[in-house]
Amino acid sequence: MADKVKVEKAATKKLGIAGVLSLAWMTFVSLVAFLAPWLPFDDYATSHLEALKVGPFIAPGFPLGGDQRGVDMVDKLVWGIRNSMMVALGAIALGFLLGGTAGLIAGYFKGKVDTVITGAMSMLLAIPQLVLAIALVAVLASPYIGSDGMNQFPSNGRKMIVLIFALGVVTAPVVGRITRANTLVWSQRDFVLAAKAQGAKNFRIIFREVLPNVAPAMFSIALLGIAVIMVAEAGISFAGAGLPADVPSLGNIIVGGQSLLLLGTPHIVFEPVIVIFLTVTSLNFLGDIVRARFDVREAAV
Amino acid sequence: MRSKKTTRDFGTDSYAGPLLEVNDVATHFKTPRGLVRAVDGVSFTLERGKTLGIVGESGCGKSVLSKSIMGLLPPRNVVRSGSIRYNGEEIGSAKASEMAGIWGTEMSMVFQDPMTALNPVMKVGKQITESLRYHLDVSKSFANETATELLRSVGIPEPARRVSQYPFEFSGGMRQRVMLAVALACGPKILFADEPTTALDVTIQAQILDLLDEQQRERFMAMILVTHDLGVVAGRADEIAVMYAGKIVEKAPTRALFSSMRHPYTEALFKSIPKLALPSHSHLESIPGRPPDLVDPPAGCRFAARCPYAQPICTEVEPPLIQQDELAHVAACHFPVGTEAGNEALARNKAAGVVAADSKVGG
Amino acid sequence: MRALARRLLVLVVVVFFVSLFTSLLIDLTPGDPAASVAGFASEEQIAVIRHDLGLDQNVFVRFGNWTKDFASGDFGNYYSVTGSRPVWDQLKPALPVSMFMMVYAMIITLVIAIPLGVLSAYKAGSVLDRVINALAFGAISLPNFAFGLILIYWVGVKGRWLPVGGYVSPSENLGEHFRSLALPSISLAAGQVASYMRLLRSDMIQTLQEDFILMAKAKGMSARRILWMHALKPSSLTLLTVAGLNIGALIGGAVVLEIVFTLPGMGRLIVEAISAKQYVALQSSVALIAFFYVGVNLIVDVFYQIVDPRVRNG
Ligand SMILES: Nc1ncnc2c1ncn2[C@@H]1O[C@H](COP(=O)(O)OP(=O)(O)OP(=O)(O)O)[C@@H](O)[C@H]1O
Ligand SMILES: [Mg+2]
Repeated sequence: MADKVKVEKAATKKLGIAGVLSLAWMTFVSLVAFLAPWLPFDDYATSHLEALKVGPFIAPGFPLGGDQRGVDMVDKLVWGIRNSMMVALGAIALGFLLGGTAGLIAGYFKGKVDTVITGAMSMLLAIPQLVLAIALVAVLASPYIGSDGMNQFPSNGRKMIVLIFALGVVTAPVVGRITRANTLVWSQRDFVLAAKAQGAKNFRIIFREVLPNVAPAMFSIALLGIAVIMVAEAGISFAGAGLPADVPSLGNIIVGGQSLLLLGTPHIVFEPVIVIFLTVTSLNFLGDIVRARFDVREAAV
Repeated sequence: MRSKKTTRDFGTDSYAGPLLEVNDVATHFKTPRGLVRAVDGVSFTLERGKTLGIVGESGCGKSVLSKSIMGLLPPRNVVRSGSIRYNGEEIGSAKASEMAGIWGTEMSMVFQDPMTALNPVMKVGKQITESLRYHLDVSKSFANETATELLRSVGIPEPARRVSQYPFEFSGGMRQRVMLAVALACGPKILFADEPTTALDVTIQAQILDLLDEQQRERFMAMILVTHDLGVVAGRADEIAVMYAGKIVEKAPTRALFSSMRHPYTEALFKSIPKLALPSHSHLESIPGRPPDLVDPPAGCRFAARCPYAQPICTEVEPPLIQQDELAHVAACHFPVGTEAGNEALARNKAAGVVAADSKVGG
Repeated sequence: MRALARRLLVLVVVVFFVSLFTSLLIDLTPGDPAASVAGFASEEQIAVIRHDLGLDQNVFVRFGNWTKDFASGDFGNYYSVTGSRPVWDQLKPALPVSMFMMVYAMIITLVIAIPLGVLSAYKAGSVLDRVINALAFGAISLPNFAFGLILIYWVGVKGRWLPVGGYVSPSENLGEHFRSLALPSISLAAGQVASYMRLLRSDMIQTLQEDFILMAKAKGMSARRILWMHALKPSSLTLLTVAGLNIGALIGGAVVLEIVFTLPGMGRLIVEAISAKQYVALQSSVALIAFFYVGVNLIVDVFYQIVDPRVRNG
């Protein structure tokens, strides 16, 4: 009927205060993560006796306090952010490479290809993602008994790569489904059909016509995806399959600080929790803004 | 205020005046674009058991007027003014809680689209019995029997079986009948029928209109029949109000309106009635141009821009609703159709080769 | 019903591949799985275990055996210095812990999210609505383990009102049972409440603009009745959809929260299996969780058909 009112006309067209704050926080976090090696931060292994288990704003020179070994929480968080960001970005990149490609192909070519790809994605989605990721990391990056009968410990590098791989694999089907749905819609548009009729090559059409239009949706998914992966990284740390304690991540800092929390010293846990919360909130917020701006429909089909 | 009456108990109120008196009612919407003057000063009265037809093009404010009278518009961003008296009682500014005693039992409404106006996940029987049980305090079995009876009376075959079906199991025409049964359940004194047949195909339209007629007569119920088709109200309404851009531009007893219509807009509507007698491909005159923007309506007569009679004064001075030859026939036009002034104006425009005030301004 | 049959077919295929995947999980381990599983054992013992695990046979035979065993309730063995024990002995007490926790979380979620969603849809745009929405946005961004840790600190450590770990079975002491699962269930529910509430709200706002709502109003139904009887039911389809989508998150959340709250559930089992390199136990637990997940999704689908008369009869 003509007399219906649109109650909520996306009020988020402009950034707004929350948007600006989110952007500011993400810029800050990203800068810290990328520039950490060149910034004057201590190694996260350096202990300071005067900072041992000290809460924030108590010991001079240690604004965020120290951990159970006297490591400055500032240093620890900086490296934790860096490692968590590396994992999240790596995983989302892998997820997009796998899922995005699969989704584009399935949505563009349809038919049998689509059936196979969609089927494969449903398989991957049939195991709760966090559980799947934990299982993958656990088997791929566990100490094992080598042929020499000795314990072989995977290197930290291998652990990080496995973590990225596992999180990327579980992200892929989610990204794939959304990309496929959007591709299905866009590849039906006149300009795509016209390009086809003019005999343009499929891959050219996919890259020149479809991808640019699907990109906004993928961008907003990427923002949300980074948030989800950062949380998942912490979850995997809880399960004991995350990065080892000498490679600080936001997740394993929290896990490491849990026992002190029970003893009444909460800052080791809550500082990374706050960082995660702010980051996730900001990413969710920015994702919403992108979605509103480009009028992205998630379940387009 | 909540009345407990049975379905057959009507017309016993002691108030002797008209059932519904609408006086200078205006309904404006606050929107980002500005104030939408959807209804802008409408007055009429409706006697018990009578039918008022409200006719006008799409977007002229018919639905808003009916909803406004029933108090169904959401309070936010809506500005209502004017007086609405039901049975002598002022309800123009009543809150939803005060209207609760009127909705369903005193006034009821049938909507345009039977596809969307019935709850898709509720059995039709329940949609009827729920208001019976809510308003009339009757037992479940009595309500069920009444529902079956109602469905039978609106012409639904096998009503006993149909009560336990969902709306999607009915055809469009049948759904409209169901909706009528739902609206009639508690014996309202006024039925608002907002384009009850627009969504239906032509053969079914007549059936539904006849059904409305029949039910109305049986129940001695007043009705406000809203439509954009003068043909629909022609044989059915006692009185017809023609609306344009939120205002009534002409109002007359049905016979008087058709025999001596005064407003050029009424005439234009009349010419656009599809006539069954004519061959189906015969030319229908649609009204050129579009209704004005209700946010910033033009000065003078709102129809001037599309009016073949329009003269310079029409775009400057708003014509008042004045009485025509017959009592109860009013029209708002400087150069009424069929009068000397009107004929002269039309001739002058023809001679100058203009069709409406608009084109004169433009060229 | 045709749709349901197709769903069942898909389900069978999914179950097949999930089984294949989990049963082959052990092949992904670097080195010799038998040696890793029994790091303490002698050469002969390892040889026995290797045979036990079917590692001396080809992949397909192994998958066949695994499936047969799994279907008959033999979930493999847990190897330790003191000998091998059936994994089932550990799964059996762990399952109810996880189930109780998830069921309680679901109940909390529905009891809070539905009224909040209905209320904020009805009052859409009001201050109340905005406050509820802001809170929901925050709750969605707060990972459930974070909420759990906050509760542990403020309610458990500082307030000492509720236990922060350990599990009491209902047969032991019903009151203590609820107390032991209170914080974990609430933590698990928090994010779910927010996502259910938000989706219900936006769905209800649309439903409330439907003609049949106006029709109900014109019939004189009270606002409360319109909201609960007319508007909520069409929206319940959305609720079910959310439920289907959220089960994965619910299970993942439960796994993590069990560890945070040291509850002896499935999550805890997985962690122990990982740290003791018990891949058989890990793979059985993962398969069990996956089947549970697939099963619940099927149930949601069936409900979907029941709730929507158009689908049911159409
Ligand atoms: N809630 C609202 N907010 C703003 N404008 C509105 C609202 N409801 C209706 N309008 C406007 O008021 C005008 C009159 O609408 P109304 O629905 O009454 O027209 P109508 O005569 O019933 O037309 P139709 O034949 O299409 O049903 C229209 O221009 C419409 O856009
Ligand atoms: Mg209308």
